[in-house]
Amino acid sequence: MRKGLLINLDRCSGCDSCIVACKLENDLPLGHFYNKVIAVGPTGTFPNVEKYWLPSQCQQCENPACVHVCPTAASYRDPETGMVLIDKEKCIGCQYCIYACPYGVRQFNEDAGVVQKCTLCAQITADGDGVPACVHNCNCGARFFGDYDDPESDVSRELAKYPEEAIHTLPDPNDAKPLTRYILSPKFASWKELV
Amino acid sequence: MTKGTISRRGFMKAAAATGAALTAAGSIPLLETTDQAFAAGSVERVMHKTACHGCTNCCPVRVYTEDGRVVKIEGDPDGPLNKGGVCLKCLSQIQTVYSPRHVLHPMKRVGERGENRWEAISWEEAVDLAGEQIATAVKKYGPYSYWSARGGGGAYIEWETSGLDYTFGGCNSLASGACQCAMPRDFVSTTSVGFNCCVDMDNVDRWVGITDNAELDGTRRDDTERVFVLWGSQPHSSKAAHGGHGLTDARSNLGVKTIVVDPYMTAEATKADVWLPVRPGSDCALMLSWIHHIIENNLYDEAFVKHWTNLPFLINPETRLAYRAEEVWPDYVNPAADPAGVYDTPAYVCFDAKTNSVQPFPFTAPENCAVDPVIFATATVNGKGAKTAGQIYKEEAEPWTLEAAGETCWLDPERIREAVELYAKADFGGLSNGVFSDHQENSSTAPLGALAIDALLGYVESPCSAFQNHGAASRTADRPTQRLGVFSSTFERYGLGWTTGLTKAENDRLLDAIVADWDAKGRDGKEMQRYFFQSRCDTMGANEHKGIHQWQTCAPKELRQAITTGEPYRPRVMYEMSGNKYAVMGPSLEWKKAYDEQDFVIQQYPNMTSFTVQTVDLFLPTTEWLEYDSYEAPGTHFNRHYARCQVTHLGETVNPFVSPYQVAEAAVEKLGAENVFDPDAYKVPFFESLEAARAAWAEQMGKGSWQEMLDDIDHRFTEEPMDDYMAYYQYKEPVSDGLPRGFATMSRKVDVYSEAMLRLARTGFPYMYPFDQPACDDYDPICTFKEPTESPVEGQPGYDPEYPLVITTGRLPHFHHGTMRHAPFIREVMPAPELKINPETAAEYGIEHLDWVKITSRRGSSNARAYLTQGIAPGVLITERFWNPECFDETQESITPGIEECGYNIMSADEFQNPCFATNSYRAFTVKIEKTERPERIWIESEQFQPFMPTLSGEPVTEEVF
Amino acid sequence: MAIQWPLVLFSLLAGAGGAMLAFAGLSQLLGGSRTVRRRAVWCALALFVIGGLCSVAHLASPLNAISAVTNLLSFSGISIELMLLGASFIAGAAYLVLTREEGRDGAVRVVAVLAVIFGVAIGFFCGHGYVIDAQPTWNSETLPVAYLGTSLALGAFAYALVAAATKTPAGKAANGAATSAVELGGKLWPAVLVCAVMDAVGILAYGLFLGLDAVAAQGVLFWGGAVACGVVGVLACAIAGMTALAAKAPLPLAVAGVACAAIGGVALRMLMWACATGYIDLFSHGIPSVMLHL
Ligand SMILES: Nc1nc2c(c(=O)[nH]1)N[C@H]1C(S)=C(S)[C@@H](COP(=O)(O)OP(=O)(O)OC[C@H]3O[C@@H](n4cnc5c(=O)[nH]c(N)nc54)[C@H](O)[C@@H]3O)O[C@H]1N2
Ligand SMILES: Nc1nc2c(c(=O)[nH]1)N[C@H]1C(S)=C(S)[C@@H](COP(=O)(O)OP(=O)(O)OC[C@H]3O[C@@H](n4cnc5c(=O)[nH]c(N)nc54)[C@H](O)[C@@H]3O)O[C@H]1N2
Ligand code: SF4
Ligand code: SF4
Ligand code: SF4
Ligand code: SF4
Ligand code: SF4
Ligand SMILES: [Mo]
Repeated sequence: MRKGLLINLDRCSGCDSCIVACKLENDLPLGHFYNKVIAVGPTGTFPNVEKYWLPSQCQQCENPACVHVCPTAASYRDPETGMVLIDKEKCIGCQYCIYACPYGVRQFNEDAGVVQKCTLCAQITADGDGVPACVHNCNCGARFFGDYDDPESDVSRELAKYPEEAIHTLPDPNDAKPLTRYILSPKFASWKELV
Repeated sequence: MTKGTISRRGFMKAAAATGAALTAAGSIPLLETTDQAFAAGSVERVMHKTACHGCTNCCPVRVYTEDGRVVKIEGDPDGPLNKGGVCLKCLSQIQTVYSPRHVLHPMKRVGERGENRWEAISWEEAVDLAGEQIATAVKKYGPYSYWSARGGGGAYIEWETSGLDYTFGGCNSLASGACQCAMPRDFVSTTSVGFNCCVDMDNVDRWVGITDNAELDGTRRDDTERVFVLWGSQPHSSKAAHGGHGLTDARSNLGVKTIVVDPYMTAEATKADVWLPVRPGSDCALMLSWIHHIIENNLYDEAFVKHWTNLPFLINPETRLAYRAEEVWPDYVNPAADPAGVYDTPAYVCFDAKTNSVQPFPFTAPENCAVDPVIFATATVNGKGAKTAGQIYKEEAEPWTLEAAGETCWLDPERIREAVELYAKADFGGLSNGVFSDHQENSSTAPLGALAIDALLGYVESPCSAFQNHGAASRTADRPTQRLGVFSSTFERYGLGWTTGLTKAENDRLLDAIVADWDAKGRDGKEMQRYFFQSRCDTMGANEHKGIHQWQTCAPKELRQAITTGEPYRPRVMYEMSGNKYAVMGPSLEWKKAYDEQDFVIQQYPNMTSFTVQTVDLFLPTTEWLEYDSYEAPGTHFNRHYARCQVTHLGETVNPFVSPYQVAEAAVEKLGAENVFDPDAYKVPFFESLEAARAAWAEQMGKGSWQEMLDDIDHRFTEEPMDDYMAYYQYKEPVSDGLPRGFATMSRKVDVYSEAMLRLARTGFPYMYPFDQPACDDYDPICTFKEPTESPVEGQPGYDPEYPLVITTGRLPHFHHGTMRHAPFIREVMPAPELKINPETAAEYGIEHLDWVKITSRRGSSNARAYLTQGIAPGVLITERFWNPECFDETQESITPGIEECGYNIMSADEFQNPCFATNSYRAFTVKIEKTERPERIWIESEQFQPFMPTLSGEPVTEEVF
Repeated sequence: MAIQWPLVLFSLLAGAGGAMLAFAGLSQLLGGSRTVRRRAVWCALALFVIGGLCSVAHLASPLNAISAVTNLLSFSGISIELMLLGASFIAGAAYLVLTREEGRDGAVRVVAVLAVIFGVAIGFFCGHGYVIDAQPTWNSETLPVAYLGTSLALGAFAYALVAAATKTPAGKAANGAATSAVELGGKLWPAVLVCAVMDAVGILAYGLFLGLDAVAAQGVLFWGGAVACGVVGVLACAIAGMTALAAKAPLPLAVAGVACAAIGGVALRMLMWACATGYIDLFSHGIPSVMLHL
């Protein structure tokens, strides 16, 4: 099983609602985020410009650097679901995973002394039928959750609607195999590698 | 998760019982905590269903409580438009309902205005004080000394303020919206198409959610080309989870194409097939160029224009009104005349291509039409040269070639061509005219232009059209009729106003019956009718700007000046039923001078704002939407209209429809019913208690009781059957007189050439019938272009090199007007207003990304943070309205009301207005800018918002006060 | 990224301790004073302890160090550092135990060889943990080389300092210069020079890897701290050690060397944190989160 998010940027309006949905669901204090929505662009020169939004959170790498560097195995990839998670009990707050994550989507929680990141709303999704808060509440139905290995899952079905050239992953510096896919059709904007 | 209907029901019963007992005892409970169900409850999660009131759109939501405390809000996946999505405003209600800023008790000012010092008082005392102040002023200075103020779209209270106004005989109700929101578009659509589709014109939900070429699952049924035009309209912000979601579905699932006409690269523009970044304020020139291009290139729908619009009608050059057949042929017998004399279907005059002559043009089905009317023609009628309405439009549009429009609107002519051709050649199209035009001098002419474009292309009552009739009610059995000012029931109450589609005899009969009814009640009906007419004439600005009658409001500038000068009279006691006038109405600092002249200001609202701190004397706490029941809001979801259902209740907050009733009742008692104009008027829109309100709303929903409605938790809405909802081309369906239904307009066709504008200016028709209001200058009956009074174009009369930049505004998904500035999770992602500015312009002023900028217009200054972007033209600026509740937070060393720091409307103008609707200029005026420092007290870092984090979640759940 | 002071200090102190340990090992193998060696090893152990405490300060709670230790076999960067720290500490402690009395030469030689290996390795691996794809400005083997070089230079001068401060029991009258002269079979200063060169090479190599633009953005740190002190100062002191100055004023020379090497070592590590960008550092964008004009 490879459970993760799929975000359709053709649909995303950059409304920031998923940020708030996530914070409320996961009880994050001010200044703490599991996800952010980043405006990419506008690129070009007025009026010939393009722009899209990149909602960003843990990419659920299949070969996660954060797990490899973790000295306590607090960061782990659930072999059954493929979800990359942090066991807060085990985390010693050394922050090596923050340095090692190629996408900078982990944050150190000073108060708790542990590193935090998107949990795929494990408290909702663990039993197999819920969807994360950001997915459920996404203003424009741009976010999908499911098992990439299951052709009937929401993510697989949405992916199947789009051609290769519209499907993207964040660039992968060294075989981290980020699972999260982004859909962006060239007619709206060209995908930017961001590195 | 369990649906906790059982414990919910238990709660409602307990609540009802306690309420009854207290009423019987005649006491008003101060902070009565009760509730067995909640008190004894386990930590079971209970699911409730209600509808969000975070903005105009009322998205259905599921709310979860534990021990009566709201713990989670999420979208209701059953919502046909939002499909489970909700935006950050909705989600943040969990923070605002428990916000330290949510006021739970009536408050009386104890310090000076501006000091923010208050004393909590009981509702009994508050109602008595409010009644006393109103009564005293009315006694001493007469009925016009009382006035009311209300919100705009998304506010709880709009036209309902008239209920109190006419109790005392007052006549001024200031709306933050109305002149500045939808009222102009409502007038145009209601008089020209016969129904209010302003809601459609800016709420694209109806035509994007599930359009008819898709199954409900989003699968396309045909491959017709469908094109939406978003003209100064951005549903992704203004209808976030609603029309925004619908638009996404339309685009992504159905392949609908979009054209966006907007100075800023909005979310819509990023996805548009063509984006026309029009110069703010120049839209009418662009519209005329579309009209010109459509006519020149024969792209119009000839059959529709000929038979379903008034464009082929010959216009009398003296009266500027269309000739009636009887004017040319006195003995003419109109075949469409109603033998019973009830319905009115006039016959007009055209130039007939078949006979090459001027001929009568009666209303018929197109296939039965005896003439072949020429749309663009000049002919001699009664010895004078007369043009068709089409010809008049054509000549107006003549100078507006693509090149000319390109130059005036700062656009590439080729891109204009691309846009207009894409739209004109679509199989189906619809144009959403956003609120942009309601905020500038073109508020009457731009909607006329949008109407002309769609009428020329036949995009009326067709799939995708913004001019859409929905539901059983519009499928009338007879010739459709329309009473203007549906938001102004008082016209009807006192026997004033013409119903379009009825004959004069029938209109007179109806009005006489109303007068007779008053007589029967022991009042002098004629006198009441006359008083009402006179008071409408005495309404501030009513003579120049007769469009204000549409929503029974008043002209903002004229009211402001009357208060400051005392001429012609001074309104003195204000009942404000909205939030922060300083934030939403300009020019704010000029307004402050007026408010300072007030003897007493009452405000009802859920939380204190700049207006409260600066101006209010008595504050009445009203419910947040989680504490709120209602069915009143206009926002529908496709064919559904959701009810708001109370989930919790804190302190002594009162439903906003109940408090005005209590206040009015107290004032009437003090004045004596015999001394007020209409002692019952306030009982119409307002309610004595929540129970009374629930009963009325249940009735509107066709339910036996509110409880019955609540019990069916999955159906807390009313629903229009799909067959009626999706009934297109209703105008073609035959009705009782054997003719096609047509439209509820004077001509029974689409009045692209707006005679209504002319009649309104001349006599106040149709509102004032049977009286004539004194005439003012004619309002333009068609789209015309006028360079904005303050212009950024060198060489124009309004150009001033000191103010070289043009500025405008638009919405953000994050806030609804003045709301949510105290929602910490929203503020941390949008802490300050952003001034969108082209890097080239920024460089000229040495401004870098995120620098603070001071913006100054001729009326005042405001601050914002620079956001450098190539998504806007050089020389154009856009930012949003703001205010900063942190400025009067306890943690500050010194306080301000939080409006002067980031108050866009300090800069906006009312000295130049739209003539018809008195629309202020909130967009397209000119400014200068300079780099500055962050204003003191403004918070921008996440952690700073800690004082806004919820503190009331431990508050007990309480009973209703009334 | 914010400069992580505990890690800056840990890696430099532990690395320098390692270098001292290695010098002691070399002295054992090549010849020198037992007193100097024992004192140096005591110093190394002290540096390991202080460094270790610093690194614990980086953790959210000191108790968490235990979890790190109990998970040694994860072979993460941290666990390798921990293992080397432990191994070096044990080697040093064993050395002190074995050399309490004369004799046991065979065992001492083995420990000395291990001390050299672990002592050098710890300097390198304290830097190697940072060589990750996620941090392009760290992702170069020049980084651990620079960590090693700066550790060696600091440890070498510190060893020279110990030597200079120690009066040999052989000639009570002899001053520190005499003691130093026999250390490492008389090769103490050449060894220091070798370390100084490695330090210079490491710093310059990492600087080159970062590129002129990046280092220019951290001008004071790079040019002042790393180059002026870490490279020029350190080399000058080491070269001076090859002159008559070594005999005349070994103590001030060693002190100056320690100071330059310490500043250089700290500056290099600060530079590393200050230049950290992340591969795609999505959360580094403030509010509004925007990537402009790509
Ligand atoms: N510069 C500039 N100025 C503008 C505009 C612009 O675009 N630019 N837009 C204009 C327009 S279109 C409009 S409509 C006006 C809007 O102006 P207003 O309607 O005055 O603005 P709001 O802040 O929405 O005030 C209405 C209030 O009703 C309150 N309300 C909503 N739900 C509840 C509830 O459940 N209980 C209670 N008690 N109160 C509730 C909300 O808190 C809300 O703040 O602003 C106008 N002003
Ligand atoms: N989040 C949120 N939702 C809301 C509201 C809110 O305050 N916040 N308010 C509600 C209300 S009352 C209303 S009336 C609706 C309004 O909803 P919209 O009509 O969508 O309102 P805006 O976003 O203010 O304005 C639309 C667009 O006009 C553009 N614009 C500005 N000046 C010009 C111009 O001169 N010409 C053209 N062509 N475009 C221009 C702006 O860039 C903006 O994108 O939203 C409703 N929904
Ligand atoms: S909620 Fe959905 S539409 Fe809004 S920013 Fe997040 S992903 Fe995009
Ligand atoms: S994105 Fe970062 S945190 Fe998430 S799995 Fe990959 S390496 Fe780990
Ligand atoms: S901070 Fe926690 S999760 Fe991250 S590497 Fe260290 S122990 Fe593992
Ligand atoms: S899946 Fe859950 S934890 Fe992850 S970003 Fe979405 S809401 Fe936050
Ligand atoms: S769009 Fe409006 S009604 Fe819908 S969830 Fe957002 S705030 Fe609520
Ligand atoms: Mo509005």
